[in-house]
Amino acid sequence: MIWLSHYESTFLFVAAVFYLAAMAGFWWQMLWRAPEDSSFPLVKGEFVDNKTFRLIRICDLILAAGAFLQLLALLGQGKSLLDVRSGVAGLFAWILLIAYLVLGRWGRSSLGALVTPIVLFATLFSLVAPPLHRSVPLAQLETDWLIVHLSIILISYVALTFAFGASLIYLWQEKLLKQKQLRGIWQKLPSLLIADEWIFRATCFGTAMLTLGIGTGLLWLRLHPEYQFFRDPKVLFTITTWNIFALYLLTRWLLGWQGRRSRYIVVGGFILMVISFLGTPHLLAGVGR
Amino acid sequence: MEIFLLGVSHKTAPVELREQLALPPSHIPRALHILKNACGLKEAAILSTCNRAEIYAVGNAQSAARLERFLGRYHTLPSRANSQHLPVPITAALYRSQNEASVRHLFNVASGVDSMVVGESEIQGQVKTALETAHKHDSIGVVLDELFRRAIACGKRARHETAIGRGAQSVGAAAVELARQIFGPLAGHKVLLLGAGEMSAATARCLVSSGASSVFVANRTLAKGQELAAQLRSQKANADAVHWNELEEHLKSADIVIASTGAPHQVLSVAQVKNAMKGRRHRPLFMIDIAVPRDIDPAAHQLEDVFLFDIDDLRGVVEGNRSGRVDEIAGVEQIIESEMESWQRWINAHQARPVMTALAHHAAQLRDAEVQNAMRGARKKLANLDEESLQAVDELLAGLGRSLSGKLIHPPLRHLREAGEIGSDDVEVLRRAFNLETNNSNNSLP
Repeated sequence: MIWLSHYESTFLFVAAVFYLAAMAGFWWQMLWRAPEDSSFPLVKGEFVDNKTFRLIRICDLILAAGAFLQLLALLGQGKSLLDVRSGVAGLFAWILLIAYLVLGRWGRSSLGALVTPIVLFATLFSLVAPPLHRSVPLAQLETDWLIVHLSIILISYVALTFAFGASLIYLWQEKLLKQKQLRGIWQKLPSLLIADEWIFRATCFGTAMLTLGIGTGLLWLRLHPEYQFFRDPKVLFTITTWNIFALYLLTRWLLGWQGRRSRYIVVGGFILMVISFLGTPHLLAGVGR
Repeated sequence: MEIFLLGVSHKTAPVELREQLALPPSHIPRALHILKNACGLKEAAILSTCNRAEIYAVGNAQSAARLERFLGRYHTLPSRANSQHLPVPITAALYRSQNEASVRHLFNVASGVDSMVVGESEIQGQVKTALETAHKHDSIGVVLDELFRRAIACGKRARHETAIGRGAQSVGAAAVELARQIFGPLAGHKVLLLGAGEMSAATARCLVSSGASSVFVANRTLAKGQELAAQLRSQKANADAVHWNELEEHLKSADIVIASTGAPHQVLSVAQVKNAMKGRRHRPLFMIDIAVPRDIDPAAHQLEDVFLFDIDDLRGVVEGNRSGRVDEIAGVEQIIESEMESWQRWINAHQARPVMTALAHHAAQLRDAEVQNAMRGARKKLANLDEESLQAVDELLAGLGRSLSGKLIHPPLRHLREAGEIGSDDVEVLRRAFNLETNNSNNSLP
């Protein structure tokens, strides 16, 4: 295993420690802290008590500090970070974190509790990348189209990860409601309909970005007619993932599905997305290598 | 004479058991009639709410067993083999008490200390309704009347002199709180209300003040539903009454259903809910059933995307905001203690009352007999006087008799009253000293 150069790895390591601390804070608040009278509006319609609000703010600040350190590491890696899967994972973690810090308050502490392990895992995974700042970017990355394509796909992955996180919250919340456990963790989860609304919005945005990403990929293909994309498992998995999320949107729009089944579709789509990222060769097989 | 209490509440039984013993408002007159006439009780009153069903009665030593038999027969509950007792789970859930314990319990209930929502004020109205209903059906006498009045006064004192009621929700408000936690903001969601009674009205008002803008009221009597809808429209809500037979149609489009009818049976079956869900395409349906007996078949909760909660499920919601009010319970208990002392004085004095009446009656009899003798003697010795003068003498003698007996009887009567208030044995001593016969001298309250 080749480790990153000294500064990159230090920044990433310290960032990972910050993420771990924030994750511990979120989960402690979720599992062990007794809720008090809700009085502080986190977002419209969602209230938390003042102490919880302060704790979430502290965790957010720790995450923001980690995000800053990771940004330094990413800048140090430069364009080469797109060469390897672990580098892309680091960039994904950073975008996911920024998206959470900007948009994620709606989920009380529950979304933080679900997002931070993903961020931490992706950041730790990025630590196994080679010293990217020393490497020369691959020839295929010289094409701006591919960088645009990768960036758009990453943004779609972030949105769909949010949809997945919200789906888990929905299923968790639904299970607690079915078991009539109306105290403790249940009070810290967002209401079902709010979770549903965010799954829908995140999936809409994520699927739109995925469509755009696939579109930019097709444009890139025009520059590389020799590339047989139908033989590339990453492309096939990505198209299947798109179909799954499109199925969710169709069932939601046309059939009005809102319940448990549509959550399973989103979870299934996310699993396929993870397989297409981790389980298939990075970048387009046989091109530019 | 004893005061009995037999009851079941949210503290001793889940809603599944409570609804088996519930006495809906429409059943209470008949139940009171049976208690008074068939069970041989002197007095009876029924306190029936969604969280409790309690019978207060005044009777003799056999009355407790009669009350239990009454409950079993009234609800046609199966008895245990070879006995006339109720089934074990019900027997275990019932609480029974006598005299002071019964009185203390009612004071606790009326003060809101025993409520699921500690400090809620609805219970006071319900105690008052129980008293009025018992009066209306002539099942109540001096003792229970005084007890219920004192309980209402005790509840008022608890709310005015402590902060037990500050921030307390009603059950309806707790239901709305649950809906709010499930849905977030209620604005934009369609709410269907089953029933247009007091509980429904209170719930509807909470819904509207929590932001629900679209409320439909389904009631068997459309006029009552329209009346409630008009009240809600005056609060600027988009409210309307719907026919009961349109219920299923509205169920398909509603997001939240709150059921609180006074029906003695379920009004919404699992098949009806299942049918409505077909038209909803997996859109979640939240139903909160705060009626006892329950309005909605509990099996509906097993249906996919259906979430049904009953009154017991609200416990988790209301316990979250009770912490401050629990600190006030000590203050309420002091008030209850002082009310108990006052009650004890009253009931003791009430116990002495037959002896006082008998003593006064005895003195009056003696007085009248002696005055008559004196009058006859006077008429013999003063035969030369005209009739007018004789009548003047009679009046003089009668006045003398009244004055003498009054002055003689007043100190022992005052002593009896005071001895009665403190529960002194002097009552019995005086009864024996004057050889008085009282109607219930051997059935006194301890």
